[in-house]
Order: sequence, then C-alpha cells, then structure tokens
Amino acid sequence: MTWAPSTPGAGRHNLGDVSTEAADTAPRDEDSEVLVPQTVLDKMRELDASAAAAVARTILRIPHASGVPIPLDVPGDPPGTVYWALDPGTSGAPVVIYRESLPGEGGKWRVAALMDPAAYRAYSNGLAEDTLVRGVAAIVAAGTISASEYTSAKVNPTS
Amino acid sequence: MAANSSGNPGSGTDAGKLVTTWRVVQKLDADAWRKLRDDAPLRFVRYLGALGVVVGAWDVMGTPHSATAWLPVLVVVLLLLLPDASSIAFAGFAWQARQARDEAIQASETARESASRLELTVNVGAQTGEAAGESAQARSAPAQPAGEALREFLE
Repeated sequence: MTWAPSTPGAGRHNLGDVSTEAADTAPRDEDSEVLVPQTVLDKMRELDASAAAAVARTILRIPHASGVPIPLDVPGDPPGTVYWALDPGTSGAPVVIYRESLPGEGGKWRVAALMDPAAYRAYSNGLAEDTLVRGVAAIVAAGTISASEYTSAKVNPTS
Repeated sequence: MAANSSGNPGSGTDAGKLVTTWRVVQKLDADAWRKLRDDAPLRFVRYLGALGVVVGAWDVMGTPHSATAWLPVLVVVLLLLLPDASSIAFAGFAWQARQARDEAIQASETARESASRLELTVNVGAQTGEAAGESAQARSAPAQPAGEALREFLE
C-alpha cells in the first residue's frame, strides 16, 4: 500500500490525518452522490496535470471536507441556494465551488464551477460584500450565460 | 559673424554655459538630492555645523557688540538651516512650494492605490461572475458521478 501525500483539510476528514491513495482514488458509495458536470470536466482538462489532480482529489473529499460557504448570485437559482468552496491549496489549482443538488438533478451534491484561487481569496476576505464586485459579477455572469446560449443555439439550430 | 557671436553675452557659447549651469542646479534640486539633504544624518550635521559656527565665532570674536560684524556668521548659519525652512515655517514661499509638492506626491500615491484597488475589484468581480455563469450552465449540463468522471485525472 502506498501512502499519498496529505491533502489540505485532511485533518477535518472523518478518517483523520492518515489517508491512502487507494482511499483517494477508488470509487466510493459517496462518490455517486457527488456529480461533476461536463462543463467542469472540460475546464479541468485545460489545467496542467498536477492542478487537475489536486482539483479531482478535492472533489473526492466532498461531502466530508468542510467547505466554506460562498455568497454567489447565480442567475436562475431558486432562492436560498447555498454554495460552498473547497480550496485544494495547491499552487495554480482552482477552488472547487459546489452545492447541494436541486430537486430533480440527481445525486446529493453537485460541483458547480472552478474559481481562480487568488480571486476567491480576495472575494472571501471582504470583497464579497462590495457593491461594485457584485455588479461586475452579475454583468459577467449574464454575459457568460448569453454567450453559452448563443453558442449552443449556433451548434444546434433546431433545439 | 563667429567673432561677433563669441563676444556677445547672449551668444551660443554663453547660452550653452547657462543651460549647463541650469541643469546642474536642477540636478542639485532633484528628489534624490533633496531626500539626502533632508535625511536625518545630513540634517544633524547641518545643525551641528550651524552650532559650531556660532560657538567658533563667539570664541574668536567674543561677546557680540555689533550686528554687522556678526552678519557673515548669520549668513552661514542661515544657509545651513535654510533647507529646513519649510519645516520651521520660515520663508513662506518655500514652505508653500514644498507643501504643494508633498500634496501632489500624496495625491499621486492615493490615485495609484485607488487604481490598483479598482483593478482588483473589477478582476475579482469578473472571476466571480464567470464562476456564477459556469454554475448556471452546470445546472443544465450532463453530469457524471465523481468517482468515474475524475478517474482520468488521478491516473
């Protein structure tokens, strides 16, 4: 059995500080409760191998690892939707944003997005309440959704 | 024409000397020099020099009887203390000029700080918006269980 390097937040894991690679990578029952959308997988493929592996290990720690609530205004979400953030703590690895699955989505948890670590730290250190940040975020979110809808409409004109 | 211009006080050679002198004066007035001049060690030396001149003059000339005799001493002391005119509110024009310069530097630093804060704010807003947009897309995107979806990244 090989010992995997300890991951950040492992101290909060049910198993304590000691973890094995097999426990990290082997499919567990809980893994089927955590769903990863294609958009997140596509973004992970753009990362370098070590950062992508760090993100993957972090996702596999859901729901045992203690995520930090992050106020995120996502257009179209039902009121009261809470998002959580888990920082892999590896240089260059983005922060994993996830939430509980909405009714009809399947699974118990759903990874929602990956966020730039520096921006996440600044955001969670007080900028989340900044009106200008929220304004810019709302505009960019609306633009991202519109661009995605436009692209998918162009690819599938019949849908 | 050349002889005429060399004898003329406003000739090219004289003008060149004037420009060189002016540049030397500007150099002496540069920020680096000003900083050195105002820094604690040199300021202390100047104060010590002024005191030394007064004590030395007193020793040589004795108790002052005539202000005229002490005039050169006063001039030397004034020259040594003049760089601090602004801080001791001496010579109103120099004080105002220095205050204006300090205010301009402070305003420039404030503007730079505001610009970098604005840049950070916009950048964080953009990144957060991108994450929110992706979260909205993720709602309708097909999803797989983490165990099998992430296997490719852990091999």
